[in-house]
Amino acid sequence: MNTLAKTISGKYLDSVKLMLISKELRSLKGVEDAVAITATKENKEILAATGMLVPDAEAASETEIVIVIKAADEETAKAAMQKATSLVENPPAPVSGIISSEVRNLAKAIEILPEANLCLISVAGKYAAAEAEKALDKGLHVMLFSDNVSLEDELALKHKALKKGLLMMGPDCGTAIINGLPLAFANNVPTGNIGIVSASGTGLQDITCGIANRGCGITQAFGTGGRDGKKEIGGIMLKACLQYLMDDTDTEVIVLMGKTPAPEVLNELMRLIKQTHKPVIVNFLKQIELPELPNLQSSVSLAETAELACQACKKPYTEIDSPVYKIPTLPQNRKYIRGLYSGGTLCQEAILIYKRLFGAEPFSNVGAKLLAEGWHTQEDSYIDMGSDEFTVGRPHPMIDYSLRLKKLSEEAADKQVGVILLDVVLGYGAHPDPASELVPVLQKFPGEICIVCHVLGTDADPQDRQKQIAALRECGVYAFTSHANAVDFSLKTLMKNRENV
Amino acid sequence: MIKLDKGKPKVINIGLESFAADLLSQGAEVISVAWKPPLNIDKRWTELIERSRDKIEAANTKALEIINAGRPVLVGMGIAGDVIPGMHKNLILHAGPPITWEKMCGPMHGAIIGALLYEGRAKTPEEAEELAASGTIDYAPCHEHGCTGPMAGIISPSMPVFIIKNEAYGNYTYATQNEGLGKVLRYGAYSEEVIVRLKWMETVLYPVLSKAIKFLGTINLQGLIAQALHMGDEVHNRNRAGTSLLIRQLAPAILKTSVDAEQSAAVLDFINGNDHFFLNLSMPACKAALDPARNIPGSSIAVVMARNGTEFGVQLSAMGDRWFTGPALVPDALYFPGYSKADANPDIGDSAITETGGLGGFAIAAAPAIVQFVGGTAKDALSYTLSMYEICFGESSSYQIPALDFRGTPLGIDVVKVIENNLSPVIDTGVAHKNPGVGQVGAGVVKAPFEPFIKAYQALAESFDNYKE
Amino acid sequence: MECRGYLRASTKKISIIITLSLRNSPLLYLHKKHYLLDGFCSFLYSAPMNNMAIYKIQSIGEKLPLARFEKTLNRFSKVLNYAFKGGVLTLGMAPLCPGPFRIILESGDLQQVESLQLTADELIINDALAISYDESHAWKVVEPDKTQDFATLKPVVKESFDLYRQGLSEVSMAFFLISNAAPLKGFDEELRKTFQLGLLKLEQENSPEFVPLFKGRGKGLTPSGDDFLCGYLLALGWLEKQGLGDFADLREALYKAALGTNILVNSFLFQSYKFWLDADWQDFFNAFACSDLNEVSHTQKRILGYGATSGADLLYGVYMALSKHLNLQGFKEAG
Repeated sequence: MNTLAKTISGKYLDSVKLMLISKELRSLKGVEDAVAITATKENKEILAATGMLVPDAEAASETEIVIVIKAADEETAKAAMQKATSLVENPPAPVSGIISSEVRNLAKAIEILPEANLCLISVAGKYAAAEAEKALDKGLHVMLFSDNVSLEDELALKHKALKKGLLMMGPDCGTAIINGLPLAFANNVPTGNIGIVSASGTGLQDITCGIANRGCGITQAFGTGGRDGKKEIGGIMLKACLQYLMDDTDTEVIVLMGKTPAPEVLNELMRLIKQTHKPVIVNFLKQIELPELPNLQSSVSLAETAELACQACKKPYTEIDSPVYKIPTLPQNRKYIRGLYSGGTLCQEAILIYKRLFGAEPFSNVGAKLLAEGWHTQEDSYIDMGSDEFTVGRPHPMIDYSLRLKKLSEEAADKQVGVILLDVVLGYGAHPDPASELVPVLQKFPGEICIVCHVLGTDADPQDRQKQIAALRECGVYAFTSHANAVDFSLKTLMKNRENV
Repeated sequence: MIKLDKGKPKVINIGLESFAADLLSQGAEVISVAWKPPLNIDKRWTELIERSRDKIEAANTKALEIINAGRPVLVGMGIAGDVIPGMHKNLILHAGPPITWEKMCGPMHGAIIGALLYEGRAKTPEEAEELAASGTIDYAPCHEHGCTGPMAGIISPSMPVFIIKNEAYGNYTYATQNEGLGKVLRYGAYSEEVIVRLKWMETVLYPVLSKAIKFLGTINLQGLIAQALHMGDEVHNRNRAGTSLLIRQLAPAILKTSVDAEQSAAVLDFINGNDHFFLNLSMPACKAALDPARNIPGSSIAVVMARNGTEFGVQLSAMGDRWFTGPALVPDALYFPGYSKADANPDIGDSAITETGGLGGFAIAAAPAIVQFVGGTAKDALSYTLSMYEICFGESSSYQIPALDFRGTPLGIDVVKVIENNLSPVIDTGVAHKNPGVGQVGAGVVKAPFEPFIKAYQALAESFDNYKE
Repeated sequence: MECRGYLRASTKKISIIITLSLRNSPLLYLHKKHYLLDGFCSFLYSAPMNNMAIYKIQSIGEKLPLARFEKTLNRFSKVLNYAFKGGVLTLGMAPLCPGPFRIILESGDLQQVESLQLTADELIINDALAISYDESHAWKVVEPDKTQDFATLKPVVKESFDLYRQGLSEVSMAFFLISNAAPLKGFDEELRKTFQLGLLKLEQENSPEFVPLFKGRGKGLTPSGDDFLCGYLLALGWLEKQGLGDFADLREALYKAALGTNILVNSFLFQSYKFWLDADWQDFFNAFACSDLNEVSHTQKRILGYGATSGADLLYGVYMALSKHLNLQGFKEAG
């Protein structure tokens, strides 16, 4: 039998709440008894009589509230106490409006908001296609955040959307900005004349932010989901969105990006590009052969893609803020780099740049040279922590930093690691204050380790980008606002120190 | 070609709430759907139903008109064996869908043993149990004989019953007199005090009430229920106002018709001491209003929901006397101290006829006091009632909810809407102990199981398949 | 029209507080990070919006000292308690009932209230917003009504106790004690044993010996046992005012024995001992005095809504006192 006690204080106590908490705790499996009481001398007598007067309860003062939990084992008691604490701090939200509980299906929602024109769907994959189909049938554009939708369903949905002149963004579409409204994981980007269609979520975020941070703006940022360029889907949405941007009078420059599409899809995209005079910048995340077209430029760097797009606007734009840091000198044994990413496209870009520089791929969980169990880093390693093996059953690392913090500490403790490279994604959907998670951990790191960080976001994002950067720099992080610069600095540091050996 | 209107999108969000919150923080117009995984329904059935929408709509309109036109009144009393159609000396009626002796739950067993002792068919409980299992005794659902019974719902031939008539359609329903709380037959108790009380109810309560009702002619139950709703009852789990209103009508008549002052006082005391006395009138009143809406081809409205402590049964207007059943669930209720879900019997009783008739859990917004009793808030009560409008075909024209600005209660449970909204009826009920005679161990607002509704939906869908055009 | 403005800066935010009082109109209180001062009409127009509340006083208790109150004991969504020398001030939103130690606001936003200062004609919130009040707002302690008919008093008490039993929360002390159904365990069982012993003692003796068995014991922010004792004191006070006995010595002895270290509890004990009733209690006892069961039941329901079980425990104390001193039988049998 295990008994735990904890004094709770603060001004948000309410006896009804306390009663509900002890009731909830008692219903937990393995909990023998649980009370939340004022720690009067007399109540302590009763606790003593029932074997629950542990020192922590004894220590509580007469006017304090103490929670005492008696459970079958320590683990249960601890878990129950944790639950109690969270209940005290975050009491269950009051039954919100009757309105929200009344809207149980799409039809009802449309009844209430008849002007609705877009449906954002993020339910579990196996139900997602059915919901998306209903939304399309009702004439709504769809952004399907959910993944684990079959290729057949994706194809059917996209055909249906095309027939109705609707957007079918996704499945697995994490980012879009439609008529200035950021959806799901997206940033606050000004309106301008660059239109983007992307099969990559983080790629789309990084390019839109790159554009915003250079003082330019966008018309639309369409996401298509990662598989649109595959042979099976045939680039339906890539083509449709490209066509839209070609026809759209507000759009003067077009950016097209995503993993390299299947050859037949690529051909069709090129055929379309040939039909427009608008400048088109493509980024297929690797160097490929492209036809020579007067309006076509290509890049494999996200930063450069944004730069090219801004150049093509033929309007003055600002250079991106590129801090000049002195390359640090690391102890001899600290010779390896570890990349810990939350954004998949960013991780791939980092691997690509590494490969270009060193001629060989680093270890990673997403590239050709796979890490053992994806988790055990060795030598130079890059991990995309947003990939499935890390996100099953837990929130995405852009929202929940706990796993990345754990990994960060592990890497820092490895005496062979000299440089750690990471991304911090800001914007809607992301963690409300990443620095508050990172700083306490980073502060404990030895000074001899070099932490390089790419902060993805705009100054208009809810997290306050400048504050985030300042907080990170304060604890010795080499923070950048361009991914290419961050990667470049990390590798230069690595090389310089290797030369010194 | 993609066509995209100018202006910020107006968004319907299905899934992660945080996305909606982010959109709201940007000043966008967003509606969030409280989404639940859909029921596993065969696409073929959905198509059949979809094809027949107009027919269902027309049939339901008719059914609702009939229910709303009903005028249940108490017309008198009689002995079960004399007045209930098909009642005979070896027949015992029980709550819920049909069930065999072997499959009955503890409280129902106990109540049948009690009924046999009361009938003088056995001298000891053991003898009664033997007789009950011997095959001599027939069992049938109350609902199949125009009756309704709370909890175990046992009616045996000698029991006095109320006779309720739907004046608009001329049909009759019946129910016994409510015994009160504590050790009572409907919770499966059969000790001597239970039998003695039943005998008293037969020899004193019944004659006195019977005479008083005869003197009054009729008592308009619909009127009483409508008033009770304005006074904080929902006439399933709370019948305090209904019982009080009934006493106001009965008391003068009792005094005028009864010769024995002692007996009159005892009868009035008994009713006064039993807040649930009116339940045994609100239930048959609901049934009397619903029965004429049976057998309307194509109607997806439920005319019965009833539980026998083992199974939950539903009857559909379009489907005649067919029962659609599924296991009765152990209610997730609020248990009295010392009891838990482990002590509870699965859901039992015909009292869900009140919900079927637009009362009980459906009218709980009229009875905030009961929500406190079952561990909720007045706001919860409103949400329960509001959510039930979504699975009902229409609204009651007689019964109103003051808190909703006298809106009619949700009426006419539409099986198609239950399935499409993935929302099952709420039932405001008491919970019986699984062992005979212990009594009530909890109360709560519980959800009906989906299985009977899915089966009913399937049967309805398949019935449309048969009428090939 | 009178307009006063304050500019306040703190490390977290800059807030502009403006008070504006128009004759016969409510006071406005603005509190917002970026607020555009583009005319008073827009204030009035946007009054119901967030971050802005109209403060209106309903009542101010007469036993409150003219002083400054800044130490909050606890803070709930509709109630703030402040400790002061000699008691606890409760600032609450209507429909919380008025009382001698209470300030009740008709409207306002308690979450924004930090300090209070009470002067002879103004209530000043956060040193910034002054709301004037006058005699008409003062809430005064009055003598309870005299019982009209002692013959009907007992049956009304009995019936109201029956009603009380039916509406009990399952965690209240009375529920533990009255319902014989429950095999409790652990803490609850110990608590029940103690309370049962306390009730036994209470019945047998006319001395404060039962007090230690209740004092400081039980759940809630004010332990159930303390609430019980407050209720007991209240009922003794009432009986005495009705001329149904002289309990002055007993009341004093009980009060002294019940005092502990919890300021909130002590303040309630003091108020009960003095028989300075809050409005709900006044209504409750006056309903007894005219044997109006409906009114008793109505006010009882309001009291039952206090805290999780405080109201129920207070009432249980009242009924136990009435039962003993009116010689009523049958108050402890199972419900």
